[in-house]
Amino acid sequence: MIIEFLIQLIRFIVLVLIQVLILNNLHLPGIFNPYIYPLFLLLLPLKMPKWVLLILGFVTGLTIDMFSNTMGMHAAACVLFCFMRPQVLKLVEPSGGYEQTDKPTLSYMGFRWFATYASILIVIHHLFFFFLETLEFGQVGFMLLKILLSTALSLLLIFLAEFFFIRRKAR
Amino acid sequence: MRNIFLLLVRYHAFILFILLEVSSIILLVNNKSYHRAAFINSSSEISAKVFTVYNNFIEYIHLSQENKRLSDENALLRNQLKNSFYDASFQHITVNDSVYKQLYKYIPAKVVNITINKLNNFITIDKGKNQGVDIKMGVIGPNGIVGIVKDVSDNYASVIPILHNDFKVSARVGNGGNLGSLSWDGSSPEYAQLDGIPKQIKIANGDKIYTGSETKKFPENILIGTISSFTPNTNDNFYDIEIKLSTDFRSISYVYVVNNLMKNELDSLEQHSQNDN
Repeated sequence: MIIEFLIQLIRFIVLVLIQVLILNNLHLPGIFNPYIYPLFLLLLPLKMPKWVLLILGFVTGLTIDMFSNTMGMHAAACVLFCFMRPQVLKLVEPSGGYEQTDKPTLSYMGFRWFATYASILIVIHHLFFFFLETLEFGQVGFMLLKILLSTALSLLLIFLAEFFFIRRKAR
Repeated sequence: MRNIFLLLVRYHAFILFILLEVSSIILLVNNKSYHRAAFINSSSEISAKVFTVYNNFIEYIHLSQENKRLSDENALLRNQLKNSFYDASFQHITVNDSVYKQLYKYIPAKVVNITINKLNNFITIDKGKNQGVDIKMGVIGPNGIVGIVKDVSDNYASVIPILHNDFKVSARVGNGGNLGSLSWDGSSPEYAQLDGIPKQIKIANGDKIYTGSETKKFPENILIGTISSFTPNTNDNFYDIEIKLSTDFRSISYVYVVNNLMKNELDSLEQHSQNDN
């Protein structure tokens, strides 16, 4: 139990640091804004109570906001993300239901399951986040392209991170 | 009563969701106001500390470039020193110079964090209230203007660069040209847009753009950039001008905060005349 908690905490710190120190400082064209930190919320235990999930989402979002001067934008997107997570989990539930030992990771549930699960939630998160960001600029075409490209890049990073952990486990 | 309680238990997730979502949006909306006191942003001590530690590592990689830039600037400043001029007059009279009173003071600062690819970008610098930095002071770099201080904490400050939706500064074409307003459309960190230059004025690609005289935040005649392209707007009497910014936001690492020593006097004077009307 404590080990599980520590793993989650370390994952949180590592992902936040990767996000704010590396990804936020990549001088990519403005249309690519990849976000890898939602991986932390994706990998939280399956049976987590909804209210804990929502509060964790809010705290995660605020932490990222603190480092990227976006006050409330990431928090709002993460809270929506966490609210939708149980529904999405129900949607992609395998026919036999989840087992007690299952974890929502690529190595436990396989690529197809993880890809569907992660894609739906990341799209929700990015749609809402970039929608908030673009509200004041009002360039809809630019926003749609940005959502498309950034989502693709975020998902790619998340899959890469997950594959990395699979290979580590296999050794 | 019992029913309300049951309802709360049953829909606690949804209610919590609405609560958290609303508080996020409130934070977001409050953050828009310019004069807001620093609450959570990168000038808050914790995040600024993290950025400083990280920056100290990264700095070593760019050390040689940065040294060259600083020494270039030193040479430029040294050229302007009094003792690097030959005194052609024979007489020496020492006077207490009361004609020139110092108007601007510069506080050197290091950039600890910068974003350039968002729609609203920010810079965090390592000087704050304790070093004399205050909100709404101008920030310039070795090559031109950079931005305006938005929030200060004890030892850090966050700066709105030109690359931000709220950034506006009055700008002038060439020497003695017309005043326009500089803003940024969010597309490229190298270009900004200048508005309000009437069509009858002759301008050309490559014309230099400087800060105007009526801005209190910056000294007059600080370089902003050069005109890279312009088209007459069909709807009104002004040009649409693209400015190539002289500050390279991708590589900026040292800046100067401009402290206008007479700003309070100017402000209170203007306040006074406004109240009279």
